Amino acid sequence: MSKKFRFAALALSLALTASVFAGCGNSSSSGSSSPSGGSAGAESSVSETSKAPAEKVEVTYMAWYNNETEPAETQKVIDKFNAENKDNITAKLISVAYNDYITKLNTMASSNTLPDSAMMSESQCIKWAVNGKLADVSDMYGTDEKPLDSLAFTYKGKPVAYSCANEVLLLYYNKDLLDKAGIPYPPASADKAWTWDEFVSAAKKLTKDKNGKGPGDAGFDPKNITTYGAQVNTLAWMWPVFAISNGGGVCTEDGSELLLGKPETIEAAQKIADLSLKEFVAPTPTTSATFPTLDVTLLSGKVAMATGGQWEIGVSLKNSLKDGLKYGVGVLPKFKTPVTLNTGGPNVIFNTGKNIDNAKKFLKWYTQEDNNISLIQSGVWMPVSQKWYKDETLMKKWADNEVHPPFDQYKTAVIDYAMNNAKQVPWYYLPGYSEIEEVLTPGMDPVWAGTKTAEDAIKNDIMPKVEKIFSANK
Amino acid sequence: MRITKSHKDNIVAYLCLSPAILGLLFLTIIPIIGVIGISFTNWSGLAEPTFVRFDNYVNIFTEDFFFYKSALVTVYFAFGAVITSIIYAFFISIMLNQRIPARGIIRSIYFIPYIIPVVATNVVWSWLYDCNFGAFNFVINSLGFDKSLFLQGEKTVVPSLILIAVWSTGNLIVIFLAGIQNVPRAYLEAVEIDGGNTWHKFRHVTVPMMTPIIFFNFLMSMINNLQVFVPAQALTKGGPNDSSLFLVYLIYREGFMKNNFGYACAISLVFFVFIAALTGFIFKTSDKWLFYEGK
Repeated sequence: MSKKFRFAALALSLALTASVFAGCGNSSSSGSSSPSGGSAGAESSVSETSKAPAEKVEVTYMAWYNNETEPAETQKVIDKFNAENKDNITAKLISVAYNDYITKLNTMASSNTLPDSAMMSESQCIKWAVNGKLADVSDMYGTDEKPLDSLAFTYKGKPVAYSCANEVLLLYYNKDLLDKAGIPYPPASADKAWTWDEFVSAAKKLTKDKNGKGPGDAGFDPKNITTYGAQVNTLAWMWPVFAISNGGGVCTEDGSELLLGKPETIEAAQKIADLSLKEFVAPTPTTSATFPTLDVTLLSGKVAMATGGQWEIGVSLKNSLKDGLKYGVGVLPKFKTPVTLNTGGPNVIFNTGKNIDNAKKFLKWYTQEDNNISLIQSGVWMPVSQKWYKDETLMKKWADNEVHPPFDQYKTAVIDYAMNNAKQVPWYYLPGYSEIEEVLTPGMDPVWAGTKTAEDAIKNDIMPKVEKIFSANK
Repeated sequence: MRITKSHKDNIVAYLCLSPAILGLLFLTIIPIIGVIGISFTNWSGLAEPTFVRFDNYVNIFTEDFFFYKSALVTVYFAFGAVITSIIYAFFISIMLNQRIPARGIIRSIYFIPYIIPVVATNVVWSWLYDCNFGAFNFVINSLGFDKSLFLQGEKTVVPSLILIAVWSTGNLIVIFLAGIQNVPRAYLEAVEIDGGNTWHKFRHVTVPMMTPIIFFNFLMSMINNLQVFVPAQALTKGGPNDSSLFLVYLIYREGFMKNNFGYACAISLVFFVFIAALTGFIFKTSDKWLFYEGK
């Protein structure tokens, strides 16, 4: 080997060795549109000092996005906060794609690089509290600015997070299809809510196969339905709303007892499954999984009435208004009592940061309606504090515009319904809920597909597992 | 001590080897030891880990709601995919070994699925499989049959995924093709002289000469397919009713979505032992049907 060559080989191998070690180093976090989710505060304040006379503290906030425009929208709100320059706090946004979000958060937790504050998935929130990672936020708000009690995620009696917005489940319908079938619109106030049977009979009249025949007609072809009368969402957190209305549910409101195995829950689940299996008025979940967004589903006449969250108004329904969609909103049908569920993604503050108090100041500002009013007016969010539901002028400020359905209808079907008839999804308070959901989701698949009865699936497959999870988390 | 020339040579050799050794050490050996260590703890990344002895391993077999079904569907998928793709690839490679026009182009076409990013092909397949608007159901429906649920049916999901796996086995075809071209002409001519026909040539020369390659392909694709992950992640999320909850996806879910790193490590090790045992078994039985010219 010539000397020259030997030297080159040596240099090359040393360079390689160095790169192996470089790979082990703490490189900046991938997947975020802004650099580094690393521990905030001190390190980055250095670059800020040159601009501001007083020392600035940086608060990091991590949020997920579902589409490319979202990070820019969120950034606008953050920019507004930074422009107001409150207490010399600057906020920095870390945007992460929704699909990678939980993985990313978990990885950051294990490497001790959690941001100061973050959006959290609803079903995981209490688990993080159980693991002692969330700061107690009971002192974040004064009494009159506090979000609704129904929006507090609580662990051991203390709020550990508040939802960034309020959402309830509703019944949307295509007015044209109901007019054509001569069916009155679903009631817009809880005291007049349809019973389940009224709902099913309306759905029957709305369902049409490719020859224009309905489920009652001779020669009706259930395999080629072109318009389904109803679509009821069977997500594991959504369908129990009807079980609650029937006197069942997943668990009691204090989380002390399971209700999943009760006959009332089983009856409600079976009736939902029967909508597609027996009555032929609704698509099976596998069919609806292939449907486009709700606005297009309603506009194209695939479905006449569909359950969905309040957010659909701003996320989907408004997109088809220009194409002639005439939709209305009503309350959900009831079994015994008129009930809806409320939810909303929580914003959390991690107790691992050095910036807990500043993070609280930021989050409090960030969740005040005045600061994110554009999201509320666009129909995606509903406000979080009580006065926005009680004061008529404030109500009109967010709900009386061309995106929302007519104010009179929206007020009783959504605002009052949310205030008077909403129950919390158990992920607000039940430790182990995420594990229960993990069993419940696949466990109910055979029920919706019709290969098992609700009784068989819930009693024999689901309950033994859920009971174990429940007692393990007590 | 005097540094002799051979010392010098040794030092240079070790220095040159150092990237490989360090890479192996830091990227393979230490992580494996780490996995073994973590599997005996309840480490979640969120709280301080505690040593839980064999609890994780016991829980896999006694407490886990998903493990058995997951193991079952993984083995179902792996055997289905391996056997079907070996037969398919063998058949195609024989076809591609004939004197056909534009042979080179056709050969590359069969290899293309293997080199396209898997996630991209999976998305395209999901469109084909779509229940309502998918191309397959369009054809099935226009022929007068009932639509299939494909990825959304409990019974159809694994066969549907096997079809994707078989379609993308361009590498097996290439290896088989190389093997077929190496079958000595002399033996084939010998059969001809003895009055044998094409079937005899195939059955008594080509196949026996190919057994080492079939064995290699079988083993490698068995190991690969047991570790199937992408379709579960990209297409089914393990559903419906956990019918495609493959073990690696279960490990991923436990580790990175539920933060049970200790438990996830334990499942990976159990899985590793299973794959190792299966590989050993395949090696053992291979004596019975492997034919080496040199022996």
